[in-house]
Amino acid sequence: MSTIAGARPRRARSRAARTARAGWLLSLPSITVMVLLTLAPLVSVVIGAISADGWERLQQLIEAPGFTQTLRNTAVWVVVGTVGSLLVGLAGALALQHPTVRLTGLWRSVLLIPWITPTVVAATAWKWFYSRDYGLLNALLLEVGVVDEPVSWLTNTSIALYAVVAVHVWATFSFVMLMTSAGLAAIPAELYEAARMDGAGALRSFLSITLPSIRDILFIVTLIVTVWTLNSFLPVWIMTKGGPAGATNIVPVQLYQYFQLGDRTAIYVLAAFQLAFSVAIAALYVRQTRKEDAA
Amino acid sequence: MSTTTATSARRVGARSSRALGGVVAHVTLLALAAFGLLPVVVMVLTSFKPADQIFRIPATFLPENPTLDNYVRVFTDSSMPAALTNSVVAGLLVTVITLMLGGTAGYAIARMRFPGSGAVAVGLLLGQLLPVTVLLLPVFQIVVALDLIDTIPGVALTHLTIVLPLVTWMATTTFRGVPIELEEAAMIDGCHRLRAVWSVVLPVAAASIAALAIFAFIQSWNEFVFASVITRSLDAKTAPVALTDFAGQFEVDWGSTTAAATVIFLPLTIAFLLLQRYFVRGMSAGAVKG
Amino acid sequence: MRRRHAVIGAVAVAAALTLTSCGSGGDDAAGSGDVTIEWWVPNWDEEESRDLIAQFEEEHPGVTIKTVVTQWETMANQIRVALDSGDVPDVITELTSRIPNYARQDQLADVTDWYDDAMPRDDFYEAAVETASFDGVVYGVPMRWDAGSMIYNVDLFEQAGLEGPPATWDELIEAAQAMQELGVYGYGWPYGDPGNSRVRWLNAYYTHGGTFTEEADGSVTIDPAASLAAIEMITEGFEEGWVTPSSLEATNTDLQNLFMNGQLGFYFDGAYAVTPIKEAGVNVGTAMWPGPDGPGTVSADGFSYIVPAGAENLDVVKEFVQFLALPEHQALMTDTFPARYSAAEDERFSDELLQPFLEQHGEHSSNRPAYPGWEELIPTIHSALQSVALGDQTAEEANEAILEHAGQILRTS
Repeated sequence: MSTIAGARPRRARSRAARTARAGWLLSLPSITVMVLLTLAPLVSVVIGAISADGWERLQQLIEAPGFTQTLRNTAVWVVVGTVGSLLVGLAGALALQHPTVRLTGLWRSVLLIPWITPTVVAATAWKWFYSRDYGLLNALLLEVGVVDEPVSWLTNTSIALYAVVAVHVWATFSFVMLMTSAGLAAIPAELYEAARMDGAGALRSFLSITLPSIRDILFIVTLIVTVWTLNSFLPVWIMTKGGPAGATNIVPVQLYQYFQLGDRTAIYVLAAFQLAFSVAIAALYVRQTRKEDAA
Repeated sequence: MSTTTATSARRVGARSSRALGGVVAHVTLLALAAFGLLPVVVMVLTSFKPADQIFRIPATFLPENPTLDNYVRVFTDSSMPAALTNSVVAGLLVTVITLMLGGTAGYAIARMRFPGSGAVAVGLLLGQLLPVTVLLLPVFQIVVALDLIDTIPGVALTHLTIVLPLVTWMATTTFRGVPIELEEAAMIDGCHRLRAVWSVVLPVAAASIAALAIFAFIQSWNEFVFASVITRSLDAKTAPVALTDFAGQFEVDWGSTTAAATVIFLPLTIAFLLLQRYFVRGMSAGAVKG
Repeated sequence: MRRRHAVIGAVAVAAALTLTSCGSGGDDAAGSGDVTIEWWVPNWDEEESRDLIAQFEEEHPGVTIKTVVTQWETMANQIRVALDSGDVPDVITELTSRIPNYARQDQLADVTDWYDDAMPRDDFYEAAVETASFDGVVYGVPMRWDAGSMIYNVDLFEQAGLEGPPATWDELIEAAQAMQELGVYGYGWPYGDPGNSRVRWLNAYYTHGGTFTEEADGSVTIDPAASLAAIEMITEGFEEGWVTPSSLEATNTDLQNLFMNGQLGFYFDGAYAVTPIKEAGVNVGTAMWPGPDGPGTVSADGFSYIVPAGAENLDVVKEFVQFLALPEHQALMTDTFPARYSAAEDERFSDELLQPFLEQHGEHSSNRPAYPGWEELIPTIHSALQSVALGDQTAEEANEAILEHAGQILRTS
């Protein structure tokens, strides 16, 4: 940022004040909208959760059978879902950048399709795909001879969760790819040229040019994908409803069940729970960017 | 002598590693395309099957007697055509508002170091972290209070909840990534800040801004939960909600559902194909010179 | 200057948003004495509703009925949000078993007195009216009531040398084993769907004489023996191989498809399935679903008319609901069966294949419990059934889990 060395003359001070005011004015519409829409629910969640009823309900929830399983599943869901989405999206973005790839527009449009398909339909299509009796996946595997018997993708307690996570990765990797792609496009080609002149190989260029340039966008994309994954209930809801035997039950799915039942206290408690995690992750991110700004 | 061979050797080496990279890149893209398209292909093929063939055992990939009946039904006897229009209008409305509000706020936070900008940014993000399930009732009550139930602006308003903070954040990141020297150079030349932003900064950040626009549109396009309670009639019903119209209590008309789903994603894909030029690589190449 | 323009522009857009709203068209009275009633109708009832509305409006000049069409997938959320927010219509057609959820939060109007001479209560299936009640007060007027019975493949039965459909549970197992020998599965269960799973458990529980006992301290207990017997009854056959393993991911529709593909000898379903199955070319037969010694008990469900607590013009609404509840109108509207004995005599339900259904939900059905915490038991019961079917737990262990959780959360109020 530009700085004026030495003492600031009065003109510069009032200019700074004007800039500050302008900054606030420009942000005000956004803030107003978001405050109106989210402050009240945020407050009611927090109040509802820390009230006496809230503590009691929290106790009930923790003691209910299957709670540990739900927590464990949620952890797996968030980690595998986020990392999977990032890796796949990044791979796609990098592949698109390669100079030998023509028709990048076509590739990009095709790879956007998972994201454009409404979740409700996509989850249903995947459910069929995974179906023990009608599923194409089993039909293919049986045909090729990889397996002898149809696999119970959605009803085997050990693999059901991963089967559904794959659907979540499928639905979100396009976003990662899109954002990273935009970031990659902003890297001037000359930097790579210069590196090549200096004898750097592909890996070295990647590590010292590509990654640092997209670090900012990667951070925020990671944050967004993590929060999405944490809040995502539709794929599980449509494909397994939390089964079999609770193997795919995750916190957001439980939350939605309570919503349908109208159980307000449980909603507040569970939402506060989820929120705490999201806030922790967001805090990490904010601290990271603050550190960079200072540097 | 030796230098030339060394250089040419390096060039050959470079070329073969480039070729290898190319192969890897293409294999990756093909694998991703297969992964991405497989369920979609299942969906599209199902849309051409008559109702009694859809759950045939063993599963058939291709329809035996392909039929257009499902599509005819979707276009003539369903809420889909109206719903598609509603989705497009709502999506555009959300995109425009988000870019304007989020873009300006993002710029302000990135460039104008005003006290509390950090708090504002974090505050915006906080709202984003709440699950939709919790926001549903309060936001619904706001829409009722504004008398926007069953209207497209009402739907657009609810979508802002899930789109605005993220776009603001990403806009902040984008603007931070544009070197400040560009605007300063323009302003020294006598431009007001707004003109400087318009003619210098935006073109450089065009790829990212286009990405944000696409993000906002698709998020609105796909959104189901809010739309399902805000919309009640064809006045405002959006496509994902209309999709569930084919589901009855006991049976689901899968032929029509998959046909409608195909009608949803295909035109959109084509539209994006045409908008690809905003992603041309190296657009910013000329920006940082001198 | 420019900055301010940008800001004003942004604010203007926000204002424009509010101003361009075309309101949802409230129910303004056209003039004094004119009444508008808003009715939320499900899309499968919409066509029939139009004739009835026209008739009612003709007989009651000054009254206009405005409809909002709901869909199966989204109606629960819409109704829940509307009732929570207070922005409510006057009449809603809603699933009967969901009524207690709203009644518990005082969101519905008391319609107990509406069962008068014009609409006698004893003509309605008592289980239906009870399911539409909460704490002794009736909150809905049932218009549709159905459960399920056995649907079987006549050809497969003949092939297996069976004389007819099974009438007791032992005969059912024999039939299933006979199917197994033919190379298909006997039957299946919809354990891919939590709601359906609980219904199957509830049916088996009632069939074994289970009841819900309200204790003095406000808790509600489940009969452990009946519950265990229920679990055992509906999880046997997986290991032995006469129940299809697809049950674990199947919804009822999946079972129907399996049946239509000739992969199941018989299964439990509602009467609505008979016609599509016939059209698929299967030689279909129907019978009551058996219990240990005879017909089993089923828990039924259906739809009712409910009136939100904030509705106006209650006297007109009452007339309208009673009009809709007339036997001939119920017979017209229902997609399955009506909720009144007199309506069930309509010619529409005279098909021989439909008789077992009528008998089973007329004579051998029970209402659904509505205790707080009952809905929360769904995942526990679902999980228990799945784990026993998978062989991960014994029936006793699963029963323990259900009893424990029920003990924690089932309350009388």
